[in-house]
This record gives sequence, structure tokens and C-alpha cells, in this order.
Amino acid sequence: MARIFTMVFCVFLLTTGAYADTVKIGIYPSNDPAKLQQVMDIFAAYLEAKTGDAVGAIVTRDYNELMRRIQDGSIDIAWLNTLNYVRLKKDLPTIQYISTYIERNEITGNILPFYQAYIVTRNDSGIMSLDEGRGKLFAFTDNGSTSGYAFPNMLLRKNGIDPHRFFKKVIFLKKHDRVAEALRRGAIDVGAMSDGTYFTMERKYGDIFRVLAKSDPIPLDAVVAGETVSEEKVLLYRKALQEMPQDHRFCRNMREVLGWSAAGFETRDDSFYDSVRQALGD
Amino acid sequence: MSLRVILFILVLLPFSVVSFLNIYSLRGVTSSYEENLQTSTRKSVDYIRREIDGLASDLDGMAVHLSRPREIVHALELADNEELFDWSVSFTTNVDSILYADIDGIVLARAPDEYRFGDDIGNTAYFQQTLAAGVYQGMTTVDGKMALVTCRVVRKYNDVPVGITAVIVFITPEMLSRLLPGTGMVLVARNSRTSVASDSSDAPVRSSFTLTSPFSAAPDPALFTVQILEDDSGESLHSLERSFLLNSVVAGLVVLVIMFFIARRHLVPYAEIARTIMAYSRKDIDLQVLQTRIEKIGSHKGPEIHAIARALIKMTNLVMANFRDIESLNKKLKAQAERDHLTGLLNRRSMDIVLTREMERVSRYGSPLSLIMADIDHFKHINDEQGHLVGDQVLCAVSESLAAHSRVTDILCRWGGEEFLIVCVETDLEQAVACAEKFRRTVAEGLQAQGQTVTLSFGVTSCQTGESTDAFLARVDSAMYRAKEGGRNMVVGI
Repeated sequence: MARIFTMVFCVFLLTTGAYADTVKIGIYPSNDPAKLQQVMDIFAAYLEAKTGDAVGAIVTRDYNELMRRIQDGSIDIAWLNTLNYVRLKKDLPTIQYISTYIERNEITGNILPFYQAYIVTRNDSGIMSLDEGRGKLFAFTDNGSTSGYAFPNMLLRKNGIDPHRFFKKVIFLKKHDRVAEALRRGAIDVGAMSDGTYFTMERKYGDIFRVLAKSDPIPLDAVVAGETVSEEKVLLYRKALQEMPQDHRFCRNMREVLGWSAAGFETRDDSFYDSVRQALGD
Repeated sequence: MSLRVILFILVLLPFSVVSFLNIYSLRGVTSSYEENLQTSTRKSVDYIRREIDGLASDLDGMAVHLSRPREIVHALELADNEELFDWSVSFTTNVDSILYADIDGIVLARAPDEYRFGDDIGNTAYFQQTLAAGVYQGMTTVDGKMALVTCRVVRKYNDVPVGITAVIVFITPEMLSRLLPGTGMVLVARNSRTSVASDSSDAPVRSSFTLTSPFSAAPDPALFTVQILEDDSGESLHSLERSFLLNSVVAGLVVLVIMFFIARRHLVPYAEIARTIMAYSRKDIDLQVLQTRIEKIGSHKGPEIHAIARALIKMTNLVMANFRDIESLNKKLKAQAERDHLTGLLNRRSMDIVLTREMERVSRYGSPLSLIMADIDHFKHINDEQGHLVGDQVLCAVSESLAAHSRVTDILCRWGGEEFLIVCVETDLEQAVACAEKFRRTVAEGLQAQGQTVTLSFGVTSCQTGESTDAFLARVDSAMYRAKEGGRNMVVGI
């Protein structure tokens, strides 16, 4: 009897010991941190249920903090926007790709791992093209944002516009919804935002904005693991994300709370982001 | 000093003393109150000055704290609205607005208005002065409202300006009221163009004090004026003091007037009585006039005067009665002095006076004057034989007979024991002899004493020119003696 008890106890220990890890998932604050935390808690709960780990979600202050923490290992898994993934991969090649976030396109209805950056103005601004934005007030989100800065900046420069010379002033509002709100209230004349943010505003306020320019499709966010995470763990989380239904509560909350048309995750690889590297000239 | 004046003094003096003491005491209370009020005012003004200075210091401290952090410098350089807003919004608990503007004057963030930025303040005085001097603290117009603005330059490397931060407090009546220690005063903030007061009512101002402040940046330095409003309590005290003074004066005048009328009605009669009595004492009036005047005084005045007048009248009546008694007594005494007490005829002494008077008239006017001297025959015998009582009766009977048969102008006297002298004015010797004869006959025929006839012997003479009274008497006496010697009961004229 004692032997049987010991064997059962050891099996139990082995089982729980193999999978009872504490995993911290960090995300960049592209939107209202409180709202992000709300949906990320659901995300963490899903992963906890799928993996058996004790999963906690952390919304960092900004992009820099997210990158620093994945580097120093205080965050195990990170949800990175495209730009930060590309940059982080360049600075820290040992980060491990897990999965790519996918969305349902508001226009086509297709589920794709791409989104776009929009340069937007108000319908009543009188600005009908990018050129007519000369001398106006312009806002990016954060200089670490893909659709809020990097791709809009490339878009402007592709149109021969140096934003710091062309516009009266370029302001960084740090978050897509802040850009949208500032635009709506007239604090700025033109702003850069993700297409998801645009469509959220449209649903909320109607046809009040005009899109002046759109970027090429941008690969969506990548979920990565730090170098200290085991390969088995990476596979485990990849599988968990791959298996998330399109109508999972997390996806519904992403849409309801953040306005993101989340549809789950699909597995790609690092090469999926080469287009971004090329666009950035890396 | 008259009674009236004394009464006036007696009434007005204590009244005046009490009034003066009360006014003096009230003045003391008022002075003390005003001193306390001035002390309180000074303390209040000092308190307000400290509050304003404290506010300036707090705002400047806030501006300094909001201008130095490296994150803010970096955020201004990058035009990071969120960072700048997060910094400024955490300090807007006690101020109305905090903004950051870049070196060109473009507002990059404004708390608490998260989505109000991008406007240009580059042309404002406070922005330009801040860039020029590094600091600004003054009163200016912000968003169309009067405001206290404190600014600091934000510098990179503590050297290169990258923008400014401005801490703004709008000047409202409520804001100014919070700087006041209590009620009863108004604080006015003003510059050359406009002013704001903590209270817009038109309450009267007792005093005002102008304070300078750290909010003195050019071109329009701010001035604060503390207006101390009129205090109801002080006004009540002053009003009470004035009322008391006025009431005292009015009361004094009323007392004077009443006293005047009272004196006039009640004291004047006493004076009139006194004057009347004194006039009598000076013999300017007699008792009858005094009584008449007293009666008149008493008939129109109050009960006391009436009683005094009645008493005086009674007194005068008594006095007059006494005078009458005295007069009567005097008359009697005079009569007694002038008359023979037995016969009632003039006595010798009185007759001397009469003779002297008539002799003077004879010498002045030359009118005839005769004397008749009569002597009762055998009078000693009558006294001795029949007693003095019978003798007196005879004397009286003779007197009566002589008086009854004398003429109106004849003057009779008992010249001696049983001698009688009759002065016949305007009567010559012949007429006098005839009168004497009539006297003799009447007495002889009518008088008897104890059965015996009483007779008289008469001497008659007339006054001669230049003759003395004694000589005249001597002749008539001589004539009478001739009658005696001639057999008595006869008339002898010489």
C-alpha cells in the first residue's frame, strides 16, 4: 500500500511539476490600458485553461517597457505589434515566434493576418487630400507603433511629405483611440491610426471621418516567447492559440471593448514579417 | 441767586453730569471698538497678503516641479501629448489649468482638457516673457478670463529651452473669497484693463488697502485691493452715540422748557408774593394793597400758591385787625392822653396845644379869640360834705352841661380840679360873655347835687393883639376870680 501511495504521489508531482508554471504575458498599450487589461485577463484565462499554467496578463506602460521586460525575462510571453516584433527580433534574435493574431476585415469580411494604417481627417475639415493637410496639426500614436507611426510615416514620405516640415506640428498621442478622439474633437486636423480604430469610430459616431490615405497591408501582431521559455512550452502555447475559436469570448471582448475585429490566431513564422522589414528598409 | 436759578441748576446739573458721564463712557466703548477694529483690519490685511504671497509661491513651486523632470523635457521635444498630459493632470487639483507649449508656442498638452491642444499661444505676453526671462508670474487674460499665470521655461541640459509650462488659476469671486479670512471685506484683483471682486455688492466701504504681490510681471502688473466694509456694529455704536448725544440735548432742552413753564407757572407767584411782601416792608404799599395783590396772585395760581395766598390774606386780616385794635387803643390812649378821664373833656395839656394853635391863627389872621374860664362854686364843700363820689358826679354833670350847650366851634377842657376852660374861636368878648351867661344859667337852673344847686363862676376875656398865651390865660383867670369875688354864680368879662 505504501508503495502504491508513493508511486501515485510521484506521478502527481511529476504531472503538476511539468506543467504548473507561472507564465506572464505582456502586451503593449496601444489602447486604453484598462480596457486592454480587461480583455487580456480573458486571454490569460484561456491560455491557463489550455496549458495548465498559471497565466497572468500585464499591460506595460509603453512599447519600450514591453521590450525591456521580454529581454530581461520578467515577461515570458509578449504580444508585440509588428514593428516591435521586427525590431525586437533584430535586437534579440533569440525570441521565439509563437503565433500571429488575425482579424476579420471590416470591408471584405475575410479573416486575415493583415491590417492597415489609415491617415484620417474629419469630414468637415475641408482637407480632401494629403497635400491639403499642409500647415495643419497632425498626430501619430507612438513612435513605436506600426500602424500608428511607422507605416503612416512611410506613407507620408512616399507621398513626398516630411511630416515635421509639412505639418504645423506633429504630436504623439501614444494611443490609437486618443488619436481618433483628438481628431473627432478637432484638437488635430489629421491623424494616423489603425484601420480597426477607424472602423470602431465609425461604428460609434457614424461617417464623421475621411480616409486620406491607406498603407499597404501590414502583418498583424505577433505573440512571442522569451528565450528562457522552453521549446515545448512554445509549442504548447502555439497549439493553444491555434485552437482558439473565432467566436471565443476573448475575440468577442476584443471587438466589444477595444473595437478590434479579433478572429483568433494562426501560425506563421518569422519570415511572414519580412515585408515589414523591407518596408522599413531593414 | 434766585430760587428759579437754583432750581434750574439743581435739576440740570445732575442731568448734565449723568449725560456727560454716559456719553464719555459710550465714547470710550466706541473708541475701544474702533481700536479693535483697526487691529483686526491690520491682521486681516496681513493674512490676505500672506495668502496671496503663498499662492504665488505655491504656483511657482508647481511650475518649477513641472519644468524640470527629464521625462517632461523629453516629452516636449517629442511632442508627447500623453506624457505631458499625465504629468500636468496630476497637479490640477488646486489649479484650473496646466499647459505645456513648445518653443514656438504650440500647446502640446493642456490639463484637465485632455483633447484641447494645438492652439498657438506664441503671441501672448506670458509666453514671450517666459521665454525671455525664464519665468513669468502675473495677471493676464486666458481663454477670455482673468487669470493668475505662473510660467517656467523647460530646458534641456538645464540650458536649451524646449518649451514652457504654464500654471493657471482663474480669478473668480469664489477664488478671491477663499483668500479672505472672513466676512466683512472684499478682495479686488485688478490690472490696467479689468478687475474682479470677491463680492459685487455695493456695500459701503470703510477703508481700503492696496497690496502689491509677486504677480507683478509687466506690462500689466496685478494689484490686489482689500476693501473693509462698513461694520453694522460700528455703525450701530456710532448711531447709538449720536442718538444718545442728541437725546441728551433734546432731553435737556425739554427739561429746560418744562422747567421754564413750571417756574413760570409755579415759582413766579412765589416771587410775586415775595415782591409784594417786600414792597410792603419798604412801605411802598400798605396792608390793604398787599392784601389786594395777594388775593389777585392767589386767585390764578396753583393750590400751594392759593393756600399761601389765603394764609397771607388771613395773616394780613389779623394784622389789620391788630392794627385796628392798636389804632383804637391808640385812639383811646390818645384820648386818654388828651382828655380828662372823668369828664371826657380835653385835658389841660391838650388845651395848651389848642391854645397855641389858636393863638397862632390869631396872630396870622387877626381873627377874634375869646376864653371862658368856669369854676364850680363851693366845690370843695361839696367834696367834703358829700364825698368825692358826689363831687365827681358834679364834675361830670357840669361837663355834660357845658358840652351840651357849647357851640360846635367851642373847645372845652377841664382846666383844673373844678375849673373849666372854653376856647371860643371867631368870638369876640361880647359874644363870649353871652355864651358864658348861657352856660351859667343852664348849669344854675339844671344841676343839683344832693339837693343843692350847683353854680359856676365865669371869667371871660378876648385875646389882645400880640398878647401871649400866658397873659391871655392870666386875664381870664383874673376875670374868673373877679366873678368869685363878686359873689359867684356870675360872669365877668374883661
